[in-house]
Amino acid sequence: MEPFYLTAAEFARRGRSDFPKEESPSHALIYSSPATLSYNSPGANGYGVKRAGLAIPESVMLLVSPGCCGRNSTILSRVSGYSDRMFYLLMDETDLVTGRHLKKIPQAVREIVEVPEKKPKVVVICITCVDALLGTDLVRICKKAEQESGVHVVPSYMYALMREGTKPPMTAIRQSVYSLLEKRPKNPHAVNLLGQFAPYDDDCEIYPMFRKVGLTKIREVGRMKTLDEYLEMGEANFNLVLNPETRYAADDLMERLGMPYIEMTRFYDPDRIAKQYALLGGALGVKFDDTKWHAEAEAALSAFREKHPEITFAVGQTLNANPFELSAALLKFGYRVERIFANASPDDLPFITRIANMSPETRIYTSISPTMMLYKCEGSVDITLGKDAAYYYPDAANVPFFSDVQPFGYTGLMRLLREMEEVL
Amino acid sequence: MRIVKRVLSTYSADNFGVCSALYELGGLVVMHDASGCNSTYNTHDEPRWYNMDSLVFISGLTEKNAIFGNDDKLISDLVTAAHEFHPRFIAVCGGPLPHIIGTDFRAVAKAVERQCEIPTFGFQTNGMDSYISGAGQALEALVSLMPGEEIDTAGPAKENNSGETALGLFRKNTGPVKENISGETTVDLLRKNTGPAKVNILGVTPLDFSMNGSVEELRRLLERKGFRVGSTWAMGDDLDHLLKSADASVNLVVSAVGLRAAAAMEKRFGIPYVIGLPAGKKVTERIVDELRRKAACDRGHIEYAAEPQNPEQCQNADILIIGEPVQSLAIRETLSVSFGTDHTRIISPMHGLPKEIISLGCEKVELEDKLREACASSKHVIADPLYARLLPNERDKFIFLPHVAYSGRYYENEVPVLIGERLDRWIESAMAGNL
Repeated sequence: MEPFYLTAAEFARRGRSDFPKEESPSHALIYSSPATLSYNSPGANGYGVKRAGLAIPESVMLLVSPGCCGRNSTILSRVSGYSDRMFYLLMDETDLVTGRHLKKIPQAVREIVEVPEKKPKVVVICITCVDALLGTDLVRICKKAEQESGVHVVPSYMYALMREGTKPPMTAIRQSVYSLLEKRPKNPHAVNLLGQFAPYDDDCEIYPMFRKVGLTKIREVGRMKTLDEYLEMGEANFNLVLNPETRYAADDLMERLGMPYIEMTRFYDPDRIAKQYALLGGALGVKFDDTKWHAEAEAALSAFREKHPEITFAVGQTLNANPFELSAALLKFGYRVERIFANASPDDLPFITRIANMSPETRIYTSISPTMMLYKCEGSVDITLGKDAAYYYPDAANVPFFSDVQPFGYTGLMRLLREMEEVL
Repeated sequence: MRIVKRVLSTYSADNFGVCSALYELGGLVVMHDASGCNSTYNTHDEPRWYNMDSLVFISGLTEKNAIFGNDDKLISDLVTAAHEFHPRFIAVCGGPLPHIIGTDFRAVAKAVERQCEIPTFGFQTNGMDSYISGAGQALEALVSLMPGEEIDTAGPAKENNSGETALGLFRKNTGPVKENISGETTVDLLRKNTGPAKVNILGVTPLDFSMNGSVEELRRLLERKGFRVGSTWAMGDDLDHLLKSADASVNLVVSAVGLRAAAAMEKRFGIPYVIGLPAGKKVTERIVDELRRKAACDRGHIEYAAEPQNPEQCQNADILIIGEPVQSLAIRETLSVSFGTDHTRIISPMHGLPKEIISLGCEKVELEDKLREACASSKHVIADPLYARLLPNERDKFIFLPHVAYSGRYYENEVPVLIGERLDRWIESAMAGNL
């Protein structure tokens, strides 16, 4: 038996109407591939629900859960510098049956506010799947806790069993993170970058380009040091959504605060980056001057291609990139992409179709399929992108390209090229 | 009393214990819960994950299937995976979600077994009890696979078309226990052999013993003492070996995880057992004596290689040990008999400890404030490093003994080997000048 895969050509041919059911986590048992292991938080890789909830400045989190849901956080929060910001209210069997734990939450919040040397201004309550089944009304409980404790109490939901629903956990937590923003007088010079919990690279072209057209107040939750700074995000003229998982939060802000949003995609193909900036400028009624960065990115790419004319890649999914978009870009640059280890969604089909047009035999492996147990390292791969891809090709050079601080645009591409250069 | 936990962790959960105990044995082991619940086990509690393949999967329970109690989906997924991978056995356990909706894992197991004709176990875990309960259940279940007389575990197994149960077929393939003319079974005859007594080591998983060579050291020590080591449940051994270990003269239970399997083997095969970790020179001698005595004649009795804790020892304890109970008992005994320290208190804050262990006086204290008080009132605390967070200004009183079941793989490389005289040396080194 072979691990399940489709070639890019097969994938593209099947399209949305015959989208492979193997890509759905609910289709079969799930293999704990290196990619699925990154769900931990504050944990092994990136931002999960718990760490993301703590993106609100001056906040702490109370995780209300059975022991097994919080075990990893206790251990890793110390490593990640969150040890003073995570608190736990463990549930027992009686709690599960009676919902008794909900009555304890206001008391727990009072304890949290009283004890630490530095009093938190926000307590984020995080509940888990068991409360989803119990139908817990956390908003009501948070209001009560807020009245009793005198600090903001924010509801958040780590509902792993809703991963395939309309509001999966990482979508829901983004709504929670921005839920404290209140309506303020509009500032035409203010824009919020929504999507990530850490900031974008300091040298990202967005900042100087935006300032040049008068958008001088560029705010991201990852750069906000205090709650007051965070609350200033409420004056933004519009939001720029840079991660599709933030759409729900952006919709909420539009509804609550009348704050419109525009969505951008993270591309690694310089032509697409340029086109997207042009479209954004058109929507805003301005013209972004990206000439300098576009030229720098093209020059860096040319130099890299000259030095490394032939590279074969395997691309994973624990990346600061959409693995399909990135693969399509690499193919366009003239490189080979032998394998992609990632779970595709129908939204990825345009990229997969582009891959199919350039490299129909590229194999796309479903990382969660139990058959991945049988994967044998075959073929020649020079570079793996993503830590998970390195698991399958341990002898190839690896570029994890997975950091909290986010790459974007031309500077994102240049960073990728630099990191690849370092391992070649 | 404060209800919020601020600094402490929780012990590895029962469903993780099932997976850990069965990891190396070629079975299909499935945690039934939402996708992602497996990652804590894989990343924190399973040091073998990246170097040794195992058919451990998560079912990826969805909201819809949970609300409608759709067990058919789980059964279907298990059967499909079994047909793809041909495992030696199948085990299914759950976390809090199946517990709240009342999933009957034993019924699921029966349905799967009927369709696959592969022995299948369902464990009623809940993600809230400790690994001791889950791993203990898993090893106990393996005893039922051993060739020999039927025991009543999860009710009568279903017959297949040929009139044989999956379990019966499995045992048959593993090799039945045959009787000779005198009515003695092979097991009896083997035990009568005059060679070195054969001992099984029960209750070793990385959660308690890490991957630091402790298990290999255990085997070597027993062999040096004149025993043959039959099998090691369940690290560094294979299923066939385990299942053919009913001819052992005696079982040695080296952690609370092994107790249920020992009791099951005693019930089925009459193999006596000794509870105790051969750690510390004098404790080892005592355990070896007990093993010899049991191997020679005794049957059907349980011997504890440690004295029960009395309330006096708990009050004004010089030393507090927080950790796995059987290991803690060995440390306490060594401190007493080799170092003259009698006031040692043991706290084992895990859910699901067997009664036999609790009766030895391992207290179960879980509230953070109570544990802080216990640490504060002791002169020294031997515990996982995470416990030192309780008294950040008194870290010097803590003697670190990392425990994978508690702090996961974070201190994995610092877990000492405490087998035999190594414990004496560790105590001398760790507590130099303080005893």
